[in-house]
Amino acid sequence: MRLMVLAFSLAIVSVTALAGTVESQKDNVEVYSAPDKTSTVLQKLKKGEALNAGERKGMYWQVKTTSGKDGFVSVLAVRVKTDDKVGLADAMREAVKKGRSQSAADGGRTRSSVMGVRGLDDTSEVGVAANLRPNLHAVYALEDFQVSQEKVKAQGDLVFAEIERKIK
Amino acid sequence: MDGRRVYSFLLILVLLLIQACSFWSKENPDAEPTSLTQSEQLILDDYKAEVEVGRNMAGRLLTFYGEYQDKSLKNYVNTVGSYVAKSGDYPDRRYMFGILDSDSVNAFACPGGYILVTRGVIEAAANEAELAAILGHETAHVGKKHMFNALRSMSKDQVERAQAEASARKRPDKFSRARLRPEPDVNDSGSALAKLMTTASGAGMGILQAAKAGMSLLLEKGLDKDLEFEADREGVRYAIRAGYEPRALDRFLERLSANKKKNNDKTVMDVTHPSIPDRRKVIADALNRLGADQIIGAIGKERFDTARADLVSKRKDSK
Repeated sequence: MRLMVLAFSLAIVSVTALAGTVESQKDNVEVYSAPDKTSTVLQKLKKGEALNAGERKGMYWQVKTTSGKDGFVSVLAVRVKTDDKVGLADAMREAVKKGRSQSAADGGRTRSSVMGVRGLDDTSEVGVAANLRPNLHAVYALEDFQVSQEKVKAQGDLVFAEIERKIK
Repeated sequence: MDGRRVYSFLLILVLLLIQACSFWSKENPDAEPTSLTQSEQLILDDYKAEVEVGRNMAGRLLTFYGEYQDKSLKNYVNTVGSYVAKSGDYPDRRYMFGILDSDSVNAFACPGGYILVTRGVIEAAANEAELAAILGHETAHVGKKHMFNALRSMSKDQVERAQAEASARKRPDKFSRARLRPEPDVNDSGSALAKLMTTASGAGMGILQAAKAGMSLLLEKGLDKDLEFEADREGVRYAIRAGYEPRALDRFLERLSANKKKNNDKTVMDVTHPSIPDRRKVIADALNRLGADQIIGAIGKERFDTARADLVSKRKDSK
């Protein structure tokens, strides 16, 4: 039974892995039949319209048109959609917070976040790291730090603005 | 009892059960959000065990190396890392990035999404594209649950041996007793989580056992070579999807290799990862398949230099 559950969850994860979505950044974005601007235009996208995407092919995303055909769209005209399926991410965040009391019971007491052991020989003394008391205070600080969706999107805009400058 | 009565009885039983479940979920403040699908709930259950192990491992790394204190740089690493992760195959997972205060060039991915890069990585990288590819490699380890699955696949003997080896380490004089952790007490919730960490042999592995075995993999034995190669291929792919220069990771490794030849030093990364020439071959194959020659990607040199300006200036002052 346990194996079946594991296999099922792995299958779900692998399906998720294949599915990506790209979203049009403006009106009249053309979807081509080949990764080439001179090929046949299969579809024109409105701003915000999303398509399922596969892999990058050079400067194009391989996509499925709304009629189910394989097509290609310029990477500069779309962005990977980032704000879907927040339910699971939120649930994971909650799970992280709820589990803190357990971690504290499992050997950690909160400590100052600056307590590295300076001057250690990196290769010969790493073995003792497994016997150290975990610095949960620093781990909780990592957990509490969250990058907003807007900031992630802004980072993407900076990256693609740089590519556009290069192409021009 | 005839067939119709049995059917009615079962129907009533099912209805009562449904009512009981909905009552429980309303009244129990610890109930999970009901909007999750069954498959998402399975992922979440697994994730709880991952977090417990990963938190413990990340905490030990932070104790061992210390955390590099630069809020703005931490912000930047989290932004780049989150962006690359969102462009990867597992955008729904949680990723938490931190900087370890160590000259050594290395990065660690702990179960649950705790990713720690050393200060040495940020000093050795030349631009944002290189940092993005390194973080892409680590997010691939997390997304594919390389470490967690490796721990689960260990036999009871392997786990006990790894834990015993770790416990038998001689404490260097530089460590104070305060930094060593006492032997844990087994408690009820720990036992419950141990059930989630059932190994291939069917033995329940305690969170602390798993964390100790994980530390041994992170710092001494390394993951299976194929998992490292997979993380290289996937990391490059995620960074390309995010818009970065495809050859960034290759250039980083090439430079690292050249510096090693000059300095002749051996680091944890050398022990726990495949050789740099082997890694570069795998990356070259992946780049060919992805049509990297036709890709124009971002480098992010200015953003990177601005973000690490304080670090670079502190390092100059200390020399």
